[in-house]
Amino acid sequence: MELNIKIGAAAGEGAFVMGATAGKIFTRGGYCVFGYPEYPSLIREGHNSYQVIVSDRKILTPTMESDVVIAVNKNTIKFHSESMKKGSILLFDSELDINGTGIREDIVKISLPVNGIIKEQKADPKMKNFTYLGALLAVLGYPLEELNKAIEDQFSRKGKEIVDANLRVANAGYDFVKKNYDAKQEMKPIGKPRPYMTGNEAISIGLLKGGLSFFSAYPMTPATGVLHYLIKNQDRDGVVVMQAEDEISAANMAIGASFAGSRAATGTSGGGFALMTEAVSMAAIAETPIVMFLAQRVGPSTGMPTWTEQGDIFQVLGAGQGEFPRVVLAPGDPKEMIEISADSLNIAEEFQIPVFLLSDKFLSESYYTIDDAEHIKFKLNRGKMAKGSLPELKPGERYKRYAITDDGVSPRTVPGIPNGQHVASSYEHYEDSFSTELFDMRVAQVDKRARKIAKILERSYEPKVYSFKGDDAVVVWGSQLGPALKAAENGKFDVIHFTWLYPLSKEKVMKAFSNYKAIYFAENNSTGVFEKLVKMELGIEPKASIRKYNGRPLLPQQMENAVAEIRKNGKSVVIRNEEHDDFEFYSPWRY
Amino acid sequence: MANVEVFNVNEKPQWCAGCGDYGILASLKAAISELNINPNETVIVSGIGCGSKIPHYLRSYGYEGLHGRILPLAEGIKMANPKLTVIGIGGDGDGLSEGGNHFLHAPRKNVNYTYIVQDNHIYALTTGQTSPTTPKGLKNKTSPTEELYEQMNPLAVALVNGTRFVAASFAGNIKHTAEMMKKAISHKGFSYLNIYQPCVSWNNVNTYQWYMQRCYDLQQAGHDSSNFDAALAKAMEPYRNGFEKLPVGIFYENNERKPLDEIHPTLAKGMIPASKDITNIDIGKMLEEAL
Repeated sequence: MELNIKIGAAAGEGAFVMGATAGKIFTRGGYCVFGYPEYPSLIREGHNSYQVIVSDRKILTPTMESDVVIAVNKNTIKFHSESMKKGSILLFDSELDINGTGIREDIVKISLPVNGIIKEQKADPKMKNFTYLGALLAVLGYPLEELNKAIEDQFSRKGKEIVDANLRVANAGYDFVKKNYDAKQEMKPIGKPRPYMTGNEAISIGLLKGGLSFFSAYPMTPATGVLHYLIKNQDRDGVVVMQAEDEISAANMAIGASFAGSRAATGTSGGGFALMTEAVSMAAIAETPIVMFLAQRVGPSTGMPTWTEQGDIFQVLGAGQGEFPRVVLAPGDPKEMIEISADSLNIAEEFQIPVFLLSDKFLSESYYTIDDAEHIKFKLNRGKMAKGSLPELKPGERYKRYAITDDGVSPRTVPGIPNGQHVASSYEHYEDSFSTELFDMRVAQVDKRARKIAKILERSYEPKVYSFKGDDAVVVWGSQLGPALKAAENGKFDVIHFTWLYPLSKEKVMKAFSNYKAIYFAENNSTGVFEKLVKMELGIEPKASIRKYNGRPLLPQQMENAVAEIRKNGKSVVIRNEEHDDFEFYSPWRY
Repeated sequence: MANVEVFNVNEKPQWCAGCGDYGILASLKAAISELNINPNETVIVSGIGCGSKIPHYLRSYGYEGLHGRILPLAEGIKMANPKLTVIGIGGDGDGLSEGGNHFLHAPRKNVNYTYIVQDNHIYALTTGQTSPTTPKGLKNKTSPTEELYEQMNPLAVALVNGTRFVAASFAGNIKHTAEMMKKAISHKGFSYLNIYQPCVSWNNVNTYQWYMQRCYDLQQAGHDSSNFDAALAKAMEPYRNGFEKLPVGIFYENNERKPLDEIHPTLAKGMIPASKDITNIDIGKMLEEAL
């Protein structure tokens, strides 16, 4: 069973509230829900949409065709009716003139007197969201009590009057559909409630699980959700969260906090990360562990700020002057978002390096159902952090913070620990941290830092193979896992998913690749940045590639079609045009 | 009193003979030992510049970070462990030019640490270019004819943005500088000390003699350091009288506002990020909230 509900409205008119509430209602009923919002970089006007994909199985992707469309404005009908299935349902405000919208004959139209209901119930026009949701549940034959519960949870703090008014308009919407339309569907809760949250929230929870105790950031879409989540309950969760004056400050603050002994991270998107790069290099030579969360969006520069792309791998790999080891991670599903975010803090401390946690707008701002919370694994490892007392220093002597070791990792001490005095330094240094330009020591320290790489490769995750009994496989990384898994169901190809992007172990990659007669890379960018990285690092090239860079993620049907095309003629596919919902979000005045 | 010798290191400073940094280092050692602060619980945070080499010559914990980024680094350290004494120190180019944005915002945040600017009115480590406080008429490598830019007034900037402790001293007066450092370090909240410092290699205008002829002690002159308007007028004074007189001492001191590390919701509950027990964090309640 799978159901695609699409909600459209002008920005600020409630599409997201409706979508998130609907998502919660169905996840509470034991369903898996994927919520997918799209919006322009505007606060008012423009067009917002929220897709709610409800399934009785794991679902991690939007789909192309909808079963129900809720139209709060006329643009919703214009933009989304083409993607409606035959016989699907359009639930719209009865005051909208649907002539000239191109709505097809084969679609069931339910005209809902929203404003009439609001007036009749003496309610606030803002409450109309719940009239639509009441009507939606009537259409689906889903118990109304589930909406009533959601309303009570959401508004009980605001008093009985507000709760009652919302309940009245919701029930009126429900009753209107029941009375006037022959709604045949029957849908029931199927299991225990499951958490429903954004990718950014899952990443935040992961960082907290990993022991995060300091976070600093400057707001930037689509990374800001992590700042919001962490700051909300910072005292409960035992984390100090600082909004910095800029990203340079955010990065340096987090590095300072890490030096002082807390597990620290910062978060931003590409533009903000550009400002952090000098701090990356400092953390590298001072060997201060740091996790940098980077939610990618459409570039170059400001690009399309609220849309998605996987274009920043080389920004991360090239960040910071000089040569030094680093790790790049990219989770792809909610369990990975929690586990890998937690583990990123381990990796940073085990190797005393910068670790980059990559997401993108699609992963960060989509809503996921956590259906495997009990399987989340994490074991704390603080690496060579000094415990207990240190041997007494002789007069004038410093702690050997940068001791030359076999594995390249030196014992670490933090301020407050007696006999650990040293200077974390952005200069090259002796073992005891004093600056040096002595050539032998320079080489010894470079080699020491580089020796970490062998252990890092051992520690690296294997690419994960999802088998659909294919003899060819599509390689994806990070956020594109969900669409790929859905596409593979019908397309009968296997999916190889990378969550550990750098450094790459040839052995581990070959273990995944060698079983297939052909490999295709599918990426949400125009030049195949990960494909390039694999070629550079390991000399491995795919047979063909699938790329999309219009601001949207790869959709399952598109990926499936692309693989079919490659199998037929062996040529790479670029998805340039959307076959659904192609519309102007940004400037409503330009239609 | 902590023995000043515990701060000694085996290396000798590598500054030019006659550099003001020697005096500043001596003052800093004296101030910390007189305040009886444990070197293990002291972090000296510096940037890049001649004076920023100071953490290496004073055996405590230290972070010699990036040019201009002393303040956020210091704030992160202090917010992660408020038990530490954190002192940021760097030059005028570092803090007022490259780090200008942080200097503007530090008073808003009001984290409890001290920021000392070694103000020699020139870029010294990069061999003599115009800095934010370079006076007009000082010829240098980037102003070969005359200085085209106006001179910044860091004391006034610190004051108008809400710094609750603002002071100045002259590096040549070790005793007074140490005294100002002690007051600044003891102040609860963001404190700012601007140290006028001769640069013997690149600044032939603001010499020891130049300062000695001009500096006068605000406290001896009866300045009321609790009066903001009077403080601002004193900060403006040299800019109005062509630097004929240069006030040093405490311009402004106000203890009414609590520092961020006392009022921040997490720290106010007594939680210290650096010593948080993270062995087994339960995320059950977070997942439950999302049901």
